[in-house]
Amino acid sequence: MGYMIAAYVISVGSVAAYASYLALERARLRKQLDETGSDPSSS
Amino acid sequence: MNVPSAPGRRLTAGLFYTVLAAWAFAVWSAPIDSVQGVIQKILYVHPPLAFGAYLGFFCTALFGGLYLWKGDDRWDRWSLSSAEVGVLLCTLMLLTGPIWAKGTWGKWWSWDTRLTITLLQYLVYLAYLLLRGFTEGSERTARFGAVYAIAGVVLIPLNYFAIEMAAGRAIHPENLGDGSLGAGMGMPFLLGIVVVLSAFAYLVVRRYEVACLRDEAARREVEATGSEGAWAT
Repeated sequence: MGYMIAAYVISVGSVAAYASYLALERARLRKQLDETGSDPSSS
Repeated sequence: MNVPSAPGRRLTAGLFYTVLAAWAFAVWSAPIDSVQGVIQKILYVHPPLAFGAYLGFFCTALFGGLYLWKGDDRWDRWSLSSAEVGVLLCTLMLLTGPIWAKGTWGKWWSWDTRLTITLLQYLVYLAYLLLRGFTEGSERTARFGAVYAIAGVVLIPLNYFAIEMAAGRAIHPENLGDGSLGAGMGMPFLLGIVVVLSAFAYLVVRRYEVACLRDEAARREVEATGSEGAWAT
């Protein structure tokens, strides 16, 4: 049971962590672009 | 350069979360295998991750080829995004496989044909990401990356047919076929594939958007400083 749970926690957790990283990176870049000028895609 | 809003982000996210919930329920309610016990349920995540990794590497080569043909930077961004997500899924496949092996074979790893080619394939595309990450980013790097990705795609069929080529010497189970799964195991397995493929689509679209934003930030930095090198995907 422990091995099975570990496999699922690692898989789902890693995908969630990567998706969170992309969301944070996107927000950081949008903020950076907003500070340096108008961002055509923000509308 | 206009930074496009990534198409289909909400659609892929909605599909992913919907199927994820259905998959979790299907895995929970799937029958316990009479031989392996509950650890057999890793079947519903490990092979789907392999399919997702294959798809990622195939898309890396496909988009790389389109970049070489069209010369449009957007194809290079799709190619790089596919490679990154493909390597993530391959990493997870290489983690869940040994967990399953430890529970059934009694050891974490075997230099079996399938496992060895999978590791080689992983290292090839990890090297692609390192190449793209450690270089400044230029048209030349993108072109080399595209050719490299196309050359690496030959490992996909080699990996898929590795067990047949091993001619009975493989320790890894054979590829699934008609009748391979017991009663009640088909649906969670199918949903596992849909979950991984929808996660792949969702993550690639989000990664593509980040690549666009990075390139735009680099372009503005070049404009501000007057230096060269506007690629930062």
